[in-house]
Amino acid sequence: MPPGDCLQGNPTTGQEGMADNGVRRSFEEVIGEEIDRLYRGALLLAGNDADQAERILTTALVEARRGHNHESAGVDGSRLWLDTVLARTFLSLEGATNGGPDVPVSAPAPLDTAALPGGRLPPSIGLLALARTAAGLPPAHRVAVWLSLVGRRGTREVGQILGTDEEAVTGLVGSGYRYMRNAILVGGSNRQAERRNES
Amino acid sequence: MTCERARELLWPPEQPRLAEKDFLEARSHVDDCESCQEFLALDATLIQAYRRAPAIQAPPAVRERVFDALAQARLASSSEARNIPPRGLFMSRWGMALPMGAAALLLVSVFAHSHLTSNPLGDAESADLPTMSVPVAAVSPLQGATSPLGFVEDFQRRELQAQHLRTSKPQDVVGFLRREFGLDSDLAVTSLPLPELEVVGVEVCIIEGVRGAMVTYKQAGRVVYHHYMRTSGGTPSPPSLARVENMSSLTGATTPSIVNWESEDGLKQVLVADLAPEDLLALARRSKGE
Repeated sequence: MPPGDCLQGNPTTGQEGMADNGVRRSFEEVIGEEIDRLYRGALLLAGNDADQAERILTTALVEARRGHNHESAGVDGSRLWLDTVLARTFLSLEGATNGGPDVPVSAPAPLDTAALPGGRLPPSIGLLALARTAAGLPPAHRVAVWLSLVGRRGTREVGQILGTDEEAVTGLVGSGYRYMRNAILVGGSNRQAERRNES
Repeated sequence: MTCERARELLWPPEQPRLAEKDFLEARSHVDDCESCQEFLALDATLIQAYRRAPAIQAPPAVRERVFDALAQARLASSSEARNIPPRGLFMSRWGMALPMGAAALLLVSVFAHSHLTSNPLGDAESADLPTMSVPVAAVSPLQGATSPLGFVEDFQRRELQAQHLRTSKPQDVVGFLRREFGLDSDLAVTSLPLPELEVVGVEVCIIEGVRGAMVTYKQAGRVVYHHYMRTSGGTPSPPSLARVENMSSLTGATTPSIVNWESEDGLKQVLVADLAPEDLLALARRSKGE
């Protein structure tokens, strides 16, 4: 079953998409508009490893191109399709599903989110800081955080993409967020300490 | 009300929603649920900090490699469909298709200037172009490994691309090519550093899945197209006239001249213009300092 088939009720787009003005677009045209967003997603999934991000992105897009028998349904449908394939390609490359992109992700693994340093997040953290921090997350948490925080996808959609139930997604996103916040704060504290030591 | 249901109803908070019964129940749930409060607070903190940072774009080199991979995948799948071994097809196919397609595109674009609303150059630029009424279908049955009809159709789809720029400033074109393709300025616009050429615009041109750039010039009212496309493993070759047979017999129109060459950096380049062949060849050679 190609990625995206589990998305019942969500029309997906494969080789072709539909522009908002009703003109059918080629897959490459869709990618021309989406590639920056997808690259950012791949970078976060790869934990800021640029080579790995490119590998994920390229593999996913070649895979996404194969799913060409889907009727198109606008920009949102194309994005959902591409996000699904990107997420599943990452999980497959990471071996997180043990059986390819169609095997559901298991329940969230426990994360050490106890150490909560005081303080506030810096006013701007940027993708690279986020991606560096995400490197410490297990693959399924990383996907859930990317889809939820950056993609602003709800638990139902994230669950459909991951092939897991909403309760598991809530756990993945919740613990993922806590880990991200703590790691950013700890990283910031360490950098401040390093600067103090250097001076 | 479960946490999952409450978050489904209330998240993302930036999305407007109706204050219906479910919504009010979800709000009530959050008021009493520390876990949901923590989730919403964390989400707001992280997303605000993330959105303040400038967005990262895919580097041009990554972009090129991704589109190369897609082009190879497209070619492989079309080869399978036609039962043709894919090995070496990429180069030989484009070696044949590009000049003929380029000729076809000029004919069709001139047709488009006269007849279509999606005028690639705009009305002002096309005012003094020669009129050649060429039905699109008439240019399809040309000889070659692939029909140039796809090339022609794709060429006309440039208007759909987000990445196009109308400008008369060469430096804008240089910036565009560097941003979109990672092309150095000395390989791009300055490869035609000729004072008689006036820049009209530049755009992304995806031809049968292969992403290239098209810089458009004007020379004494005539349009000159300069198409760039990355190749994989080709050998450099000097500018030479491309032979395009049957075009005149098919269209009854003047066949445009085509000069193609491959530069040392692996760029396939094609010049197409309604100029005398020897004039276009001289133009290409002069642009290369020959």
